[in-house]
Amino acid sequence: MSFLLNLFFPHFGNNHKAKIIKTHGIFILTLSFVFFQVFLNFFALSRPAVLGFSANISPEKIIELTNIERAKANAGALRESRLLSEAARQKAADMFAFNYWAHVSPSGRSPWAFFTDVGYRYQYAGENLARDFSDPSSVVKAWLNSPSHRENLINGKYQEIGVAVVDGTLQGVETTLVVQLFGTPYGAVAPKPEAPKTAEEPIVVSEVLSKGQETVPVTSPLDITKAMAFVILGILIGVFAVDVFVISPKQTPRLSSRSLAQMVFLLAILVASFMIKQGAIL
Amino acid sequence: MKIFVEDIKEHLGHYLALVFILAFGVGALVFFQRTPQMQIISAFLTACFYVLWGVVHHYIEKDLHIRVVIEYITVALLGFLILWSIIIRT
Repeated sequence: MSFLLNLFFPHFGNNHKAKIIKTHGIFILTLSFVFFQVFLNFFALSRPAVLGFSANISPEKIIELTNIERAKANAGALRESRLLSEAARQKAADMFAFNYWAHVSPSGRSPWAFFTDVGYRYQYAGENLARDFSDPSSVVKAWLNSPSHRENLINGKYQEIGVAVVDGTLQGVETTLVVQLFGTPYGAVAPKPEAPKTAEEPIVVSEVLSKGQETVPVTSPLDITKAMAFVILGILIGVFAVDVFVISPKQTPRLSSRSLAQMVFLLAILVASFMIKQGAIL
Repeated sequence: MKIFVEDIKEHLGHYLALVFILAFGVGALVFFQRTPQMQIISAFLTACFYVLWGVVHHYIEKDLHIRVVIEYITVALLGFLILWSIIIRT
């Protein structure tokens, strides 16, 4: 009890200033915040499926990185297809609209429906999905680390690609979806007899997230950071307010910063934190 | 409460300047919503101007001390780091 009193309330025992708003108290809070952020970064990178991410990803970069990986695997470079990009955009919009994270929508709509919707007649088709990544190289790296996604990514049968990167709220979390569609226009190549992967039998695709992970409640590092910031700011504003109303009437002489100014500054930080909204810069 | 109000009245110009600095800073953060680099610069400048305000205020009040300056710097640093962490995650 005495510890809490010293920490939060100005009195004779703590030289008329709560310890938490003394320089070393705020410094410890600052260090704790920094350490927490570092931990959050490591955790988010190691478990991207658990922590949501806002991203700075451009479809062009995804296509460029995909073609670099294809070149390494001696697969031909993919051409960007406007139809496929539109189909990818529609798929992402559908996922946000119907709030699902899967290749097949809850109503049973397959990825291939989006191909045909935009008028893309395919001979071969594939789809890769990703969410919650912060940069394009992490997305492509994750796909390469998954055998089924890698197969899609470096499959020599594909000739065209379309990518959409769309921000939205999925399952209650603000996030960025990356939809990558592969295709070969119908009749562009003669199908090999030994590998009859026709339009009716598109390559089986899989998700970056496993089925089990779909049910994991995800949250974003931004939400966690904001929550921690609000807690720290709330405590400090409260203690500075107590300091203002306890010390001012007593007119206790002390060499210290103005608590009212500190309180107003932290209030401004709190307001700014509320007002800063998520949004990718493309 | 009376002393608190008197203190504000006595330093009204100082506090108005502070409110102006902070309002300008928050406004810049909102204005540069889609430009994180500018938001970080705005947050940094707001924190710097806040420390400057503290130094000038205490210099005028003739109670400027390095300990006081460090207190302002610490709070400004915490504020800046909080904003920076939020901005880089948007």
